[in-house]
Amino acid sequence: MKAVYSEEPGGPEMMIYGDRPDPEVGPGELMLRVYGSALNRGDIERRNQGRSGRGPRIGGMEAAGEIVAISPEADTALEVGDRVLLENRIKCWGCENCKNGRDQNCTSQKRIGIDLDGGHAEYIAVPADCAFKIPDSMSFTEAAAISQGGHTAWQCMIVQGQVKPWDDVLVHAAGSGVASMGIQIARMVGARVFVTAGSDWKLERAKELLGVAEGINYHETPKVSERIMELTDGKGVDMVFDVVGADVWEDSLLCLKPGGRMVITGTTSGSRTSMNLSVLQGRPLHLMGSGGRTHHSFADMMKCVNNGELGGIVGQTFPLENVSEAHRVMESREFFGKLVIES
Amino acid sequence: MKAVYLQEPGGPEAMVYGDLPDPEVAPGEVMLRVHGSALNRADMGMRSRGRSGQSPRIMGMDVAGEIVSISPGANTALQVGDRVLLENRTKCHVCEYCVDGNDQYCIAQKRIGVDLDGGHAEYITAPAINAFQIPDSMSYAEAAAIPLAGHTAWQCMVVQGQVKPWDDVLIQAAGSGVASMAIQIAKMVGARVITTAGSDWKLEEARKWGADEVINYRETDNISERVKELTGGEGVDLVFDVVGADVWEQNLLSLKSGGRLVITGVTSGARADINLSILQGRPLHLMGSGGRTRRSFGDLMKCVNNGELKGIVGQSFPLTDVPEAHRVMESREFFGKLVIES
Repeated sequence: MKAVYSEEPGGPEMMIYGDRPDPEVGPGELMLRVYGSALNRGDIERRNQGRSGRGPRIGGMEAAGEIVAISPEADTALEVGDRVLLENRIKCWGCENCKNGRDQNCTSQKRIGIDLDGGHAEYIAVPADCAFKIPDSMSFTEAAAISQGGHTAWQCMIVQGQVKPWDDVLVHAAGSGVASMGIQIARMVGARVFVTAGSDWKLERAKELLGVAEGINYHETPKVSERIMELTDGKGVDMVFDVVGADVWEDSLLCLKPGGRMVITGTTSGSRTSMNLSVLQGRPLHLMGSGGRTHHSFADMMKCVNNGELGGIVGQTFPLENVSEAHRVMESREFFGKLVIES
Repeated sequence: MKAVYLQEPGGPEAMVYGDLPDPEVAPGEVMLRVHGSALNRADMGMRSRGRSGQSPRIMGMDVAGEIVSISPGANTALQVGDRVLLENRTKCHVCEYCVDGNDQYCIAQKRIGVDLDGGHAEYITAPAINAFQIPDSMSYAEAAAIPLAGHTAWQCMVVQGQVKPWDDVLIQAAGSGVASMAIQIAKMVGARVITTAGSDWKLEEARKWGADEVINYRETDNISERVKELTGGEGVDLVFDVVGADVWEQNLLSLKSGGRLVITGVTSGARADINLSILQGRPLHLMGSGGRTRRSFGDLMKCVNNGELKGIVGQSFPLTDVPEAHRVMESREFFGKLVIES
C-alpha cells in the first residue's frame, strides 16, 4: 500500500511517500481503509527526534476511515462497512491501573503513529475498542480532525476545568488544534469565551466559526490581563485554557478571578518559569495540568460528536503524497484548526 | 476593662496590658465575657509592621467565652449564658458576593483582632451570627484554639483538597496551628497522614494527634524520596503546605500522578520556580486556600460539637503575659496553638 513514513530524524523532507506492506489484522483487531489522518504537534517532535535504527514508522496519530476487515476473535458490535475514527492511545486492560479504572495511567499504553504505525497510509490495523462510529453526514476529513485535539480539549475543559455555563473562559492561541476544540467545547456548554491569537484573520475565524465573544491580538495588546479585566468589568475570567506555557504564565494568572481555574496542556513557548505563591494562595487559584486521558472520557466526547454538538475543525487538506508540505504549514503556524491528510 | 492592645508597632513589648473602656452592644450584636483568645502568625506581622486605622487596637483574632448580653433586635437563637466561640470574619451580607453565596469574597468583610477589636480582653462584642456554641465539656482555652486554624485547615483539606479515606496525605510543619488541625481533619475522614517537623518531640506530638508516619526534615536530605518510600514508590495524593518557597519543589516531587497540593502559607517566601511540564504531564492540581465561607465554618463546628475535632493547645498564658506568648510564637518551640486566658 501507499504510506508516508520516516526512518531518520530531520526536516519535513524526511516524511517519505512510498510503498509499505499492507497491515495484517491481529486477534481482536480490525482494519480500516483510511481516508483522513490529521497532523499533530507530536508528529513534528517525533520527526525531529526520529527513531534511528528502528526501521520505518508510518506517521499520523489520527485516522478516520471505513472498516474493511474484523478479526474473528474481536469482541465488538462494529461491522465491516462502518465509518469510524480511532482513539490514539491503545490501553492494555491488564495492568493494575487499567483494572482500577485509571487507564490514563496504563503502564503499557501505545500511541498510534508513534509507538505503532499510524494513519498516513491506505490501511491501518488496530484493536477494535479504539474505533468509534461517526455520524453518516460527517466527512472522513472532518472526522480525522477530532480525535487528538478533541480528547485533549475535553480533558482540559470538562474533566479538569469542569467548565460551566456561567463561566467566562480565556483560551490562548485560538488557532491551535487543541485550543479551537477547547473553544467549541466551552461554547457547547454555554460559557462565554475570549480568545487570543497572533493575527486578526484567526480572531475573525474564531468569532464566525466558533462564536467567541471577543478576540485579543496579542501582538497588539502587550498585557492581555488588562484587556481581560476590561472585558469582565474588572473581575477576571473563571478559567484559562493554555497551550503556550512560560511566555503567558504569569499574565494568565492575573487574568483569573478569585477562585479561578487554569488548565495547561502545552508549553510550546517553554516550561521553565517562576511564580508568586502568594497569588496562588490568596486569590486563591486552581492550577491544573491536563494529564492522561481515559477511554471513558473519549466515549463521552464521541456521544457529543454523534449528537451533532461537536465537529472537526479542518484548516487545510493535503493529499497523501504532500505530507512534507503539511509539516511545513504546521511549523509556520499559519492555519486554524487541524491539517488533514486525505488518502 | 483589662485588655492587651497595640499602640505603636514594635517587638513583643509593644503589646500593652492596660485599661480600656468596656465595649457596648450594638444592634444585632452579642457581648462575651472572654475566657480564651489564641495567637496567630498574623498577630506577629501586625505587631511588627503596625496597622492602619484605629489605635489603640485590642489584639486577638480567636475568641471563646460566655454570652453576657444580646442586643434586643438580634436575630439569633443564642441566649445569655451560652458558651461560644467566634468566627473571625464578619461579613456584610449585602454586597454582590454575599448575595451570590460567595461570602468568602465579601468586599466589606472585617477581621476580629485586625480591623475590629479582638479577644485579648475581658469583653468583646461581635455580630450574633459570628457566635457558635461549643460542647459543654470543652474548655474555653481549647475552644479558643479552634476558629482560625480550624477553618483554614478545613478550607484546605475538605473544601479545596477534598481529602478522601483512600488518600495518602503529606502535611508539612506538623507543629503549626493550621497543620496540626489539618492532621486531625485528615485522620477524621480516614486518610493516611505523613507529616514533617524539625524536632522529634513535635513529631511525637503529631503521632498523638493521628499522624501515621513522621519525617524529621533536619535529618532527612530528600523529603520526597522518603515520601516515595513510605508510599510504595507512588507518592501522596495530597500535600498540605504552610511553608512555601523552601519546600515547593519537594512538595511537587512528593505527589503521585493526579495529585493535589493546597498551599495556605508562605512562611519561607513566595517566589518559586516551577516546571510547567510536570504540572501538565503528571498532571498536578495546585490550589490556594483562599477565602472561607460561613457555610464551611458551620460544617466545621458540627464536627467540633460531635466530638470529632478538638482544639490543640500548646501552651496557655494569662492576659498579663501576651508579650511572652509572642516570644514563644516567634521561637516556633510549641505545638498547636498558644492561648491567652482572661
